Amino acid sequence: MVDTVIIGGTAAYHLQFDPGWTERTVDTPYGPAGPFRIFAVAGRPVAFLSRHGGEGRLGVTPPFINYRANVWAARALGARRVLSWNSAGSMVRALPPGSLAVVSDLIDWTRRRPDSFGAAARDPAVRDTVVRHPAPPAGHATGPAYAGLFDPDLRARLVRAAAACGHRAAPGAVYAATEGARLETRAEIALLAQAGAELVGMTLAPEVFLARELGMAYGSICWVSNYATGVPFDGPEQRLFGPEVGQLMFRIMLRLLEEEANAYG
Amino acid sequence: MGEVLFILPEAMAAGAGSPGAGHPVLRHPGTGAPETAYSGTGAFDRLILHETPYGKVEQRGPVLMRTAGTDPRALIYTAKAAGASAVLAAARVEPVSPLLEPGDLVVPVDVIDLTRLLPPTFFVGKGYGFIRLDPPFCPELSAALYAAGREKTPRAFRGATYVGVDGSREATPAERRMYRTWGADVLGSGLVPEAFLARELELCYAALTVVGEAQADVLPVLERAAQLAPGRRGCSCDQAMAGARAQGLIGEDWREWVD
Repeated sequence: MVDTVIIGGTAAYHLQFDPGWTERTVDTPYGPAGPFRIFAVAGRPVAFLSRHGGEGRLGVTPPFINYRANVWAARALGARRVLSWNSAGSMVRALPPGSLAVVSDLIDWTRRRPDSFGAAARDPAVRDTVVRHPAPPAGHATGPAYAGLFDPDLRARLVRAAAACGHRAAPGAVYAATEGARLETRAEIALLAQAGAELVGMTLAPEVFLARELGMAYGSICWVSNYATGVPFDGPEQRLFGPEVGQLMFRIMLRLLEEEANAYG
Repeated sequence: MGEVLFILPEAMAAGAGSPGAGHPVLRHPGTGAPETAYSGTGAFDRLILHETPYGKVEQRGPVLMRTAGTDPRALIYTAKAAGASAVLAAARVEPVSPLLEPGDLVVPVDVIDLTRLLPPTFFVGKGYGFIRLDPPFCPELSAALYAAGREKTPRAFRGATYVGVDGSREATPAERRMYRTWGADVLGSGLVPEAFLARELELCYAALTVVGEAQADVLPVLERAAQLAPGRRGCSCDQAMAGARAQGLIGEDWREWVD
């Protein structure tokens, strides 16, 4: 049983993994999910999944990710929480390309994605095969009673882990999730900005809703890869999706887990 | 410039060029021989039925017919397969701006996509398709459409933002007010996701919308715009997939992109 599943977004498909790590594909009612790479941080088992699949390049675009299978599998592996990174376009000057922000809230602008497990998540017979909460390890935020969509404790830990890796992460940003894979028009970005969004991406919904539905805590840190359509900027256009993005985000995730292990030994 | 094809809703195509066109009360849809630039050539009378992986498309002369049941992918696929480099489309819209009047011609330059049911992409389950839509319509064809529209009426406008919906119901007054706060000018169905699909196949695509009149006689305006459009376009519509090509994700044959 793993404690934490890390779901990596942009550039996760560029990561090179220790060949000693176990690979595991999980069958779910929604089809197979994986491969999950199982490894240990300070003796605690963790699973990593590349959301876009792929080896060396993005395998599947956001509208066609099997979010239900991925989240169901994470829970079936035993995870109580999901740590995620998502790349995003920025609608605000305070988050230029290359900056980081921890997500505090979400506007779901997706249109064609199943966003619930429906009866399966409520049926005890089905649910218990997946949603039985193991006793949390000592020192962890416990149980299903996490507050809010994005767990405040995980948010704070993500900010600290980024700082420990030398990067300031904005502690709270509102993320608008669009359907994709096409990029947004100027008019769409203008209305989402008017509605209060600061970042725009394509993957956080319905993933966070599904994770919460299965009782898992969820934390996301965004890599700002570019300015959103029509947001004015100075200098050359930046679109930052290279392998170094995946390396940095993965390092932040590991740092969070290591700091927990140090704190609670 | 390669061939230009037109996409018209059935009601606009049925009366194209016929006596009384543009005057809905006088015109009986589907009756009478259409008279257009293609009249006498027999081109408009020639009916071609295209088969595509997404269903059938009816073509009359240079016009592909957008009917209620037509898959937008079938229309764009047909245009691409026919060798067109550009598509000029027309659609009826409802005004969101209270300043627009029935019969006004409006050329949109931006889109807010609120469709939920229509198939939005050719690239299902692929690792590419992050197409850029800034702007979503070909700027050069849009300029030609506006110029052609102004030749016909002073009530022709450009620079509009179009709200695209499935079209299965009318928008409520509250929704229209909301769309106004978003900066939208007109509301309709048909152009979305057609415009996105055209960009995926690297076609130039622009649209003329008509406020309120389902049977407006717009084919002459589209034909005039095709004449006015520059022979060598400077837009980047035909490079929409250049990034995916450069990464080796797709080859040169567009039919293999969509499979």
